[in-house]
Amino acid sequence: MNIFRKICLFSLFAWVFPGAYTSIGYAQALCDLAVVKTGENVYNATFKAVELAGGIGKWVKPGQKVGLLINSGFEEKGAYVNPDIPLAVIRMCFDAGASEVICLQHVLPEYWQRSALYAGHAGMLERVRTIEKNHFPAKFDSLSFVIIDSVPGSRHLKKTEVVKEVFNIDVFINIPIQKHHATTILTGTMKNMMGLCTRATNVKMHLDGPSRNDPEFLAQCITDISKIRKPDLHIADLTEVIITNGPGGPGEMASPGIVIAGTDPILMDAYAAIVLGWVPEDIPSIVLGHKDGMGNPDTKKANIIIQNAQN
Amino acid sequence: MRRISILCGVCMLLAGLGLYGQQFPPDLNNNWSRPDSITQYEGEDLFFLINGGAEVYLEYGFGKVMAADYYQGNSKIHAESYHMKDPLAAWGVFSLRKPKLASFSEDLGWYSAGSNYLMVMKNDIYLVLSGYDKSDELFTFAKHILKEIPFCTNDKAECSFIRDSLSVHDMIYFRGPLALANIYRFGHGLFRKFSEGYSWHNRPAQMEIVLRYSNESDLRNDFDAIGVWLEKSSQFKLKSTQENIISLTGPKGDDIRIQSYQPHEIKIFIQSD
Repeated sequence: MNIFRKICLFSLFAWVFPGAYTSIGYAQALCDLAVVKTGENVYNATFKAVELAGGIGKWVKPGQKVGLLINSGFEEKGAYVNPDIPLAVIRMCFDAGASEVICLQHVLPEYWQRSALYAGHAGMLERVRTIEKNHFPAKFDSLSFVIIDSVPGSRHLKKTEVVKEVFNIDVFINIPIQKHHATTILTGTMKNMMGLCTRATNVKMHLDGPSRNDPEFLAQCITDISKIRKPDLHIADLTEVIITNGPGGPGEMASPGIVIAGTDPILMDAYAAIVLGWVPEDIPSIVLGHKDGMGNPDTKKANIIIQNAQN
Repeated sequence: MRRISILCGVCMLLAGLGLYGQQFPPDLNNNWSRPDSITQYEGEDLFFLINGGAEVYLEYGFGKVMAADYYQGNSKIHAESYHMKDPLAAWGVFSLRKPKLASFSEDLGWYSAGSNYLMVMKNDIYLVLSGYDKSDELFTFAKHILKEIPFCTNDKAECSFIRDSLSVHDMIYFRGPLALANIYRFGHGLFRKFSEGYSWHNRPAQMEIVLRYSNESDLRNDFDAIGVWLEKSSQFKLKSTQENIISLTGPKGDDIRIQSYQPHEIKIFIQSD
């Protein structure tokens, strides 16, 4: 099957059955959202969060290719995902028998070296492939990216340049950090999906709305990206994050000290917004994502399990 | 006429090159290597330099930015010099971005320093140095880069405003709803038509926001929109209204008073304790 047909079929399925992945997740998960207090050990907390969400084996089967989307491209602490989190995820994927783990957005070696656990995982990291061309400000090239002329179900997103490898993986794990953003207030589970696209595509999301930098247009585009390829699992960093001057910082820090995991990106973002002192109803990507069936922000109705990493 | 235009264009180009040449001098008189390349972005191309948040710079009024990396062994200083449209725009970005209160240095200008960064505002330039943790070196670097940039002098009203305000308060100056939303989140669609504004804390738990309008009609439109917005909002509750005063309760129990001073100002008082 050529790549174009694969994309079309995948997008069509996601459009016709927008809740399909979430429903499957709900049926098998132990909870809708796993929240783990990290204490001193973010690495162990990540294992615990995935275990509570259903266990890595629920998503990753032996021989499968796993794609990770890690928000790693910032310099300031609190602006990038604590590297212990993806280190734990990669370890889990290989332990579950993954044949390959691919970083869909380029991760620099310096990023991994920020972890105290780097030395013990250096060998493992050699097995991880990274899409070097998808590095800020990513430019289109036909080897690494594919152009999607129209995304089924999309309201605003039209011609979109997306990293090609996202259509060649079996399992897609999204690893954002939940932090402040100047336009969207919160950038987290939903907005991290912009990391799949070239910079030119992302700039169009900012500028092509009814007015330049229209927050609602941007939020709808963010929702539309998820219709291309919805992640199977989200694992988000809420350990130490910036709550002003985002997304790059430096800014005021908050330290909720938790890692969260689940399959509903809207619930993940709504929970994070509340933890960080914002109102979910005031964040356009949560409101519009919910409207388009991407998830449910109602934290009161969701089954949320909160545990310590040591439990 | 055509000759004069061409001559003016050449002069402006040379002046521009001179200015930016001074911002990133090739020899820094120390052990830092000159950058292999200096990158320049103009207008909306800023999105290709800044990974998130470029829109706020554009809202303030952004002209150009020069970016370069300087090396000394394994150490690196990343420098970004933003040439904003005017000194108030530079001050605005600086006031919003600085994590701490600003300080003033006679030879540097307004600055804010952290563990591995230095932000400086001088005239219409907003300079950020980052990636290196020795602050003395960053200061030396900044002085060198900015030495040819004249101070914004007090004979300009905007410059005395900057000098007076920053020295007294933790003031933030803004020119649109994106920056305002970084100061206090009222919700999308409210306060869209003001031309500029500023905020500061009277006391730690009391913030005052002033919105200035270029005409009475825009002010009236924004003030009248509050009632419609309140009906839709689940987070803000109306407490009372008078002719030109609306009192609300905010999402975290904040006491908010919005007062219209026609024809050109709306003042918002937020008590958060």
